[in-house]
Amino acid sequence: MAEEALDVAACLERVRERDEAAARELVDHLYPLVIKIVRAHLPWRMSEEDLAQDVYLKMFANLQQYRGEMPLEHWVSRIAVTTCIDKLRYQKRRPELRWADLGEQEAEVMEATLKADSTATVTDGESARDVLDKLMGRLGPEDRLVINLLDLQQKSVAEIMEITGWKASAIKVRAHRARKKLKQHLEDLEQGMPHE
Amino acid sequence: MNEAEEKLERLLAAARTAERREDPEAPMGFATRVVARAFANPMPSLLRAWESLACRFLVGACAVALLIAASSGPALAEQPHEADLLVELTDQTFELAFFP
Repeated sequence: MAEEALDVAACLERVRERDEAAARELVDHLYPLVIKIVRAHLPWRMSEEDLAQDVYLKMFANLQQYRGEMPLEHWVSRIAVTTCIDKLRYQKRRPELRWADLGEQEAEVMEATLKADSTATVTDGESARDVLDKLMGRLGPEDRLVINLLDLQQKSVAEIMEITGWKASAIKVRAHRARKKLKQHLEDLEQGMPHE
Repeated sequence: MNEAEEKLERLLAAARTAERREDPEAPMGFATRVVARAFANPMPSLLRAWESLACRFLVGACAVALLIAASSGPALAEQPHEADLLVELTDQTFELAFFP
């Protein structure tokens, strides 16, 4: 594949000399990585393409500072994560999610999830993910990030350290607090669940 | 694991099964737009370096000003105050004028 064959070091040299063709190659090469991070941490009501563009603009603006101490992908991942966090920080948190705000499928999924004696597995992953995204929209950007990486993408603490630059202890503490808040939001949502 | 924890775990497990679409390629024209915008800004790193230098200079200047103020403070306090000198001068003039 063309992406795998790209000589990143040589490409970077050309980009530093303001070679636009090389810059386009770099954008294409990094696109799967950038868009994956952007989608996982996309602020509410924001276009993923706009956010991806912001990540690239930041990357090009700081490219002179990249000395190659870490793989380019790690460096770009950090830029992408911090860009998403910054955007999330400026965004107002979602208002409280009420049962009436859920769509039909989302309500069904939540009923199955919240039943105390439920042993059935929830099959509609998309709807579950949509509700979870809405609940996570009530969390702060760092809390949202840690839940996303640890619980949804199931990354290890070491991997999260690479991506975020946070310490292991900070990640564990933040994850604990974030889950506690998320549980509270889930309980609040459950209060509005109609009883049979 | 308590009940609330179990419910959250069930929701997370279900959400993990959601298929997130993968895009191996950027949309048509995306790279061109990004590069055009990135390169339209002339040497942002140079501007950033200048900004950082100016900030450092400002901090340095503030620190020097504070040091000078701190070191000259006691010396200034020892000097007689202008208002005191004026009062003294007025007294002397008054004495000379009315009680020669």
